Amino acid sequence: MQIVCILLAEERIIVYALNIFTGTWLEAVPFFVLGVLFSAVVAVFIPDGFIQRIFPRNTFAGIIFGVIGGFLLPVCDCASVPVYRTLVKKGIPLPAAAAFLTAAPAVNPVVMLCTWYAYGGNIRIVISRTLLGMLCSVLTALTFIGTRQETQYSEKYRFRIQRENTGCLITGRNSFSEKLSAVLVRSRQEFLTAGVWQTAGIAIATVFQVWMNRTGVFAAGSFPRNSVLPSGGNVITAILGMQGLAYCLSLCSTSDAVICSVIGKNLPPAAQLAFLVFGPMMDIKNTILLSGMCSFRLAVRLAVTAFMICFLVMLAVSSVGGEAALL
Amino acid sequence: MKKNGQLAGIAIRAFLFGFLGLLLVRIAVDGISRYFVVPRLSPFIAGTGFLFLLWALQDIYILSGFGHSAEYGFTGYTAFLPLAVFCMVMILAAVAVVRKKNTVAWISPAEYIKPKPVSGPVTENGLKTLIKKYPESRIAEEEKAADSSSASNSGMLVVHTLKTDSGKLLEGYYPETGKIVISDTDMAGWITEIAEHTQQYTGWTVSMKGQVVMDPSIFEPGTFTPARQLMTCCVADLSVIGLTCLYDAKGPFRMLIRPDEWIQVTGILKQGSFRGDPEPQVLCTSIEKAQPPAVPYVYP
Repeated sequence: MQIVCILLAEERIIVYALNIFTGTWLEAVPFFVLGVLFSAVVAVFIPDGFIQRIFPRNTFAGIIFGVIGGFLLPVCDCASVPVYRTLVKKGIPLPAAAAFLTAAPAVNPVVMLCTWYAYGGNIRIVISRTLLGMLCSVLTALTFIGTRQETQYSEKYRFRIQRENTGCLITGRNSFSEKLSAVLVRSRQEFLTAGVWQTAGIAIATVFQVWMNRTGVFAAGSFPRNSVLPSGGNVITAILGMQGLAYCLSLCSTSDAVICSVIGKNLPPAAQLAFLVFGPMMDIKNTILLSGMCSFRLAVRLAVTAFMICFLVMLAVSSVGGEAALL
Repeated sequence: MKKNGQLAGIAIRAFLFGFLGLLLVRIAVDGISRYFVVPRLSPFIAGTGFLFLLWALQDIYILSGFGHSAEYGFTGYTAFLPLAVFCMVMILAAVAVVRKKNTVAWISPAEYIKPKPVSGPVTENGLKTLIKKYPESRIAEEEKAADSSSASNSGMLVVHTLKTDSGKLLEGYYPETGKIVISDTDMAGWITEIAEHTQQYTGWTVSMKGQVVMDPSIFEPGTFTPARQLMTCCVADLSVIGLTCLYDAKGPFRMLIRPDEWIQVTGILKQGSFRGDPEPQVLCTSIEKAQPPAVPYVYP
């Protein structure tokens, strides 16, 4: 009875959480489905070894190639993870794939346009976000040089991939209609495999948003209350706070600029850019999705590495007095 | 037994994907998705729904006996649970929306895409304003062509449509009387337009509907904003927009200006400042109680 009373009293919170969960899922799943479809097309239609042959052998050139690929492929963070996994399976070196994974959600033309709109036509913030995003992606990718791909995946993941590949329908057929059917099958299996983690990630991000709404740190649909966010005087706290906020909110990279322009209005430019650069690279949703589709170790390593690199880059820019040029 | 278990699993999978696919297509076509995501995502949601239906049809193909289940790599039951959970969540959320739907009037998207003629007597001044060039580039080209041929025949005064610098069309533009009437759906566009051309609109009359926000930690006494919730992508990124309005805190308006009340505000635009930043503000001349709009959010 007590639980029922509590639930009735908290009905608005439940409805709020339902709305956030449903909205985030409806926003994320179409692009996630596009990502698994694209990765299925790459897996079925592109022969093994083809990408390895055309890919630059030089590691650094490969990383740049990955960043450019991320720029040309306007996918959000939901779609980049399945594509990343397929690229790695096709033999792309891990550093280049990591560069693609971290660059694609932040430095594509759609995100640049949304940032321009959110900041009232301020082109400097667009250029700053794009260039700093590329820099952070390259630096993150460089940390994966020398890492063997096999060490990044768990036994369970390797077994799962083996199970997905069983059945001659998946690859190897020559008929176009059979390949199309294989694309549908493979994309569905990948969706089912990753859907668990996608849903879990969205649920956890929803919990964080509801908690932040209750505590007043961030409230969707209301005026921002900056009482809990770090004040503009302390750059280090501001950058760390905004990066943490970006990680927990798990906002789409096409809408985070609007939120940042509101909540970060009184914060240093470096802190705002930390939100805009780190958020698309890594958040709760991505971490959980990556840990499910690849391995927990890889997800944690990528999240921690990206966090530290973004923090150091923004701190360096702030320290050398480059903030005036950022916004 | 194992094969029967696999077929049962495939049947459950087919049902879930079929149900979810139909649900997604339905909410995209019906416009229910507007309550959760921006309208531009509706085609993507519908496309996802169709893909789910394709996946369901593939499973039905297996169940009918033509396909071999092993070839389709059955991955087990655990993957179904989140889908099942989400189906239930979606149903709950959709039911909550439908219940709310019964309390407000629905307007289908097609009804607020194009400006409609407003019936009323066409005065000589009204006819003159239809061909008045003020300023020429601001009146939508398509309306110029329609004005001269239809207005005099139909006896109706056509609502002007403003074409912004970015090409967006905004209703409620009356340059001949210096008035802006912001509709339920154009709030975001008009606020951007007024903010970018404040000097041009200073002295104009603006009328808008919104929900009162007067948080004392943000607004000084005598100021509030009739706000709307702007959705950029989905409900998770809602932000509040509105013009700061000034009123006499001891005057008659104070009875109507209560937090979260829906009101229709009319006032004169002026250049003001908020926490040191210049911004357009509205001096209230009229405030009335208003009904909540059919669509709770505005979109960029």
